[in-house]
Amino acid sequence: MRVPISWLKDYVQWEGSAEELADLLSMSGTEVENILSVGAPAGPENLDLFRVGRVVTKVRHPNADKLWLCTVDVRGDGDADQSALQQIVCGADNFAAGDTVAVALPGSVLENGLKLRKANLRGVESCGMMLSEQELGFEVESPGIVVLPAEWPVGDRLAEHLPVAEQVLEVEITPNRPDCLSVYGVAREVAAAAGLPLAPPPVEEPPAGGDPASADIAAEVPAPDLCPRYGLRVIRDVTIAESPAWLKARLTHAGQRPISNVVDVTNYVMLAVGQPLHAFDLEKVPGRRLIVRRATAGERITTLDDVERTLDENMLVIADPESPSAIAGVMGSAKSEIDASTRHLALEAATFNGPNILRTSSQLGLRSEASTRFEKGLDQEYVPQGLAMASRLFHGLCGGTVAPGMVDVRAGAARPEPLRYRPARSDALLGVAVPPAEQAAILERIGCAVEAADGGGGQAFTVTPPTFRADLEREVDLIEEVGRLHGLDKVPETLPLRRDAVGMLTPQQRLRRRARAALTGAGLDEVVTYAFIDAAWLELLGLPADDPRRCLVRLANPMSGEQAVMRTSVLPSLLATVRDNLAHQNYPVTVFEQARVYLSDSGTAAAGGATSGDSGAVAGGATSGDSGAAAAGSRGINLPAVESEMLTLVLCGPLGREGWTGRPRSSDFYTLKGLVERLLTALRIEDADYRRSNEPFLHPGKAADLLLGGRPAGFLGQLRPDVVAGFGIEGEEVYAAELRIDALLEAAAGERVYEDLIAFPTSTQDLAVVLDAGLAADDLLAVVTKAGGKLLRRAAVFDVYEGDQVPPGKRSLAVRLVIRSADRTLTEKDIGGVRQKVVAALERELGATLR
Amino acid sequence: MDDERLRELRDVHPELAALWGEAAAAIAAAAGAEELEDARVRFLGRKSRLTETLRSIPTLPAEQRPLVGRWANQVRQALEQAVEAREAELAAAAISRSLAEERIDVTLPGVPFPLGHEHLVRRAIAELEDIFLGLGFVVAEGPEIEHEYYNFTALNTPADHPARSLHDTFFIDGALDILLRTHTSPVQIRTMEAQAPPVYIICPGRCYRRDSDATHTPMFHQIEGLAVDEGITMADLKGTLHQMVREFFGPERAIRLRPHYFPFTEPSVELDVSCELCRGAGCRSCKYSGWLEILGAGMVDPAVYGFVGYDADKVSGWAFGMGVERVAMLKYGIPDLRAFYDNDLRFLEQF
Repeated sequence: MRVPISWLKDYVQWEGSAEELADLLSMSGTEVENILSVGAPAGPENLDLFRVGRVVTKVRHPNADKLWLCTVDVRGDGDADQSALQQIVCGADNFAAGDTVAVALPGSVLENGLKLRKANLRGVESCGMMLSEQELGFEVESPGIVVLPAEWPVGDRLAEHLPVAEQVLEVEITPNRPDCLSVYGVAREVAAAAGLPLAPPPVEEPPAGGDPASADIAAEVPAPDLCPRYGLRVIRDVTIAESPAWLKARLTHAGQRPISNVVDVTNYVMLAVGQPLHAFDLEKVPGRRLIVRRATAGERITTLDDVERTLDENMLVIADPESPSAIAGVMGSAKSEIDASTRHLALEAATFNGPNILRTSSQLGLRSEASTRFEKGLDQEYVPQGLAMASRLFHGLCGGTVAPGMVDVRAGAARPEPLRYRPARSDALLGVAVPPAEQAAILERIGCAVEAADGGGGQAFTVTPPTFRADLEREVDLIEEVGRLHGLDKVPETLPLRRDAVGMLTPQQRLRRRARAALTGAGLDEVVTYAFIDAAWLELLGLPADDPRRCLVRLANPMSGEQAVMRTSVLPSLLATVRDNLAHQNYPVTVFEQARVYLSDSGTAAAGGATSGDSGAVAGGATSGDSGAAAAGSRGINLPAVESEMLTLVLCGPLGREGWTGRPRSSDFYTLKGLVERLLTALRIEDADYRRSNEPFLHPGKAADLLLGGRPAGFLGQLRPDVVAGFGIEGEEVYAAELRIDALLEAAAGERVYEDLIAFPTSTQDLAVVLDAGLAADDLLAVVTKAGGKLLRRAAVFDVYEGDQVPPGKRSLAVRLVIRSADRTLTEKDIGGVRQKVVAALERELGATLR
Repeated sequence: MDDERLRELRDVHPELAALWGEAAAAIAAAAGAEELEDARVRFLGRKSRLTETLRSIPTLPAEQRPLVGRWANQVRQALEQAVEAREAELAAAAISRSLAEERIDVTLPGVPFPLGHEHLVRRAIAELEDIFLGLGFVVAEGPEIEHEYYNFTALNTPADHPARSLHDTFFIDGALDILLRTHTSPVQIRTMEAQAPPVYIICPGRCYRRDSDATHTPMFHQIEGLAVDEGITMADLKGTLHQMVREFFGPERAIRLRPHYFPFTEPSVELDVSCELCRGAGCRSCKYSGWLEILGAGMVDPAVYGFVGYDADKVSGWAFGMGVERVAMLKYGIPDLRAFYDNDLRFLEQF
């Protein structure tokens, strides 16, 4: 909302600067987003050069058909001495000699920043300028200059009559404070926050005459639940015309376009005191009766913006006996609209049910200045106030006669509940001691009635909020008022006592940190991608029909098809990341993300025997417990999805950069596996097995499932070239792994126990074993480990050979045996025995020979 | 000393003195290990004149023997020491020579060991987690696909609040009471439902709102903080937030609380941090106010306690909710929120 400061000063005598005012408001809860300067630059010297003037003579310019040569009195000392008059050349036609005008003298700086100088216009000197409304900064397109009221004294500084240089506050009013949606409401905040006196509301009863209003109009409210108060006044014999300059200036500065005096007055009153008004042309109301009723289903009305609207029975209309004339609180129709020939007005002010107005306006997609006020729920007392203020202006500006009395249909007054208020409670919540008397004074400043309770002594008060503060319903609401007006800057800084609370991470949270550190330490960049993806991305993976990753949680209202479903794998998002980076010539792309996947619970039920195994839920809550379908809250609310955490990595190109010292190894399956192994080591996971994977999007020969303690924990492998191409990646091998955090957590048993590796020596024995090329390294190691007995501490393949030195169909694997005893130094015989047992078992079980 | 003895020796045994002088000069002049060995053999070897002199002592007259014997042995010792010293000098010179030849260009880069980069959002979350761990908080988590009860109702959000609309919030197809959480606040409710006070938690995580421009992405991260205990005050909120700001943004940063409105807190505030660029003087980045808003907070509204079964007369508490991207943007000077989700390596690897 825009608040012109000169207008605000009608109600509160603020002496400080605009910046100080903005600060005062911001720090008391009315956020000032901006201070706008409109019109000419402020400053007394410049404003001195804007004057009220009178045109003394007006003749045609000798050298130009379209210009006038005028003499203008800007001194007003009654001296008709020709030499004291300003000679001004002007192009406008809408004035005559004798008119009062706004004059800018040479040297003045105008609204557009230009400095006015004496000028020679077609051979005649022009000393100044007669201003249009646009040039005064009222932002209206004006065809001519502004003609001012004749009674304004010639020679006066124009700024005494018009806001030539205005500063406007742009304020954000929070939804709980509809009472601040007016200049007077903001002035009330300024007065309360600064401790300044507040002028009474500008709502004096106008002089009235003629028949009472009820002689011309009647009102019925068959829907009192949606309209607790409905008021009408009648103004007779108005003249529709342009509004005076001051009114146009205020409206423009407040962000409203001036239209005509009647419309402008209704808008002005709304901006001044917060009550929206609607004027009906009395002669266009058949039966002279207005009915505030629910619309019938399918009832139609064409609103002022020329759109035909279809209503339902929850929408409120203002109707005459024949048909609806306005959508209550939202917008009127052409039917009873004011036009140039309007003579008599019925002026409406009402209090509507806020949520109902909000529902109607959002359903119709029709929000107006009025509806945004009504939807927050207004004070019923605004109704007579708004009508009185507007009637007075209609009388003064439109020449109308105000009919005595007001048609007032009211279901019953809304009376604020008295609240019990304990100052000590406020001190305990805010953490600052404010004397009870000071708290009472603050509450009185915002319009509350404060009485001592419990026999006085300041222990408790009975506080009755004013009618316009419907947000003050509880003691804590009053504490907020005391806190903000006493000043949050006076609240000290302390830390909670905490007693037995300790700060620590859960094992899962620690594991995630270690995992991420292991991968960044290995050279992968961490990314964060959107959790919602294009469903087509999952199709590209070619998942079988019974794969749980096809059980999608779909959004009802995605912003685009690319963000339509919650992902069941992070892999597609990372492939898109690779594609986007390659498009920017970023290579290599080696990235990972640790994020959740979301499986619809219909899918998790079917997931029992599927490849990726059971789905463990994300740990939720402060201490333990699962989220999602796995755990209903204590309220028994079930969620239709299970969220599991994944660690997903993708390699496209080598890990590391080329340097003058050499090139990094190009990535292959074993790079990927090395990373997984490094990760497992960092997480202290030992019991890992790799089995050939059946994931449909992986290269059938270069992919494995990871098993931890025999349970599935994810996959690793090269992506099929056709899958990669489907994501728009051409000519690059891409390797990926996706691991389940819950499986990693379960397998990461904890800390290792000390083992003495120093007291007794370790012996190593290397064997080169020739065996069928179809046998896996793990097949070999299984036999070796079993045969080696407990003296064989470790066995690992350290070299692989295929070629001329071994027969076709065979390959040679070099195995290193690590042999030691925990309690003695082994003899040559002990060591040779282990070796012999291993060799014999290999020959017997795998047909392998030593090379 | 040697010179003095040499002069003395000249008087006593000119021949031996001449030998000493000659030998010392030859040893000192040896330019390498071989020359030194030659000198040693020549002057100290079995066939050297010195050895012959020593061997000839028994043939001398008895009164000369002690004198010649003493002097000859002294000369031998002196020469042996001279050989050792020259040997050490030559070895040191050899090392210096070979090191001088092994000169490399130390300005060339080192072996490029790969080092990856944490995503800025995750890094900011970890930093903030650590700050609150130090203050005695635990990290709580909860579902992102959430029931509207936890996301709105139990947080005292009115039934007609615009945030509940399809326009602002993502809902799940076929279940219009299920949504993508719009903030991390539902974790507050779930935690309080699950445990009795005291509660000291922070809840980092992904949130979702239907918004997309330079300052909004449809997915973003929040960190929620909640402290509920006996005697918790707004002063505790202020002190805790200032500590967080000092640790996260730097010790010189000032804060201020501004009154605001949220349905789930009463009183409600916004937290401003002094602008680092202008140090409070006012600049473009802080819209000439000297302050940057970073989060919303307040004392937990008693209505919320009603939803979770806490006694509002016995406990009090505060909560705050902060956009992680927003504070990361301020801390690192990032102008466009969308950079976080473009995941361009040129962006990620800067940090």
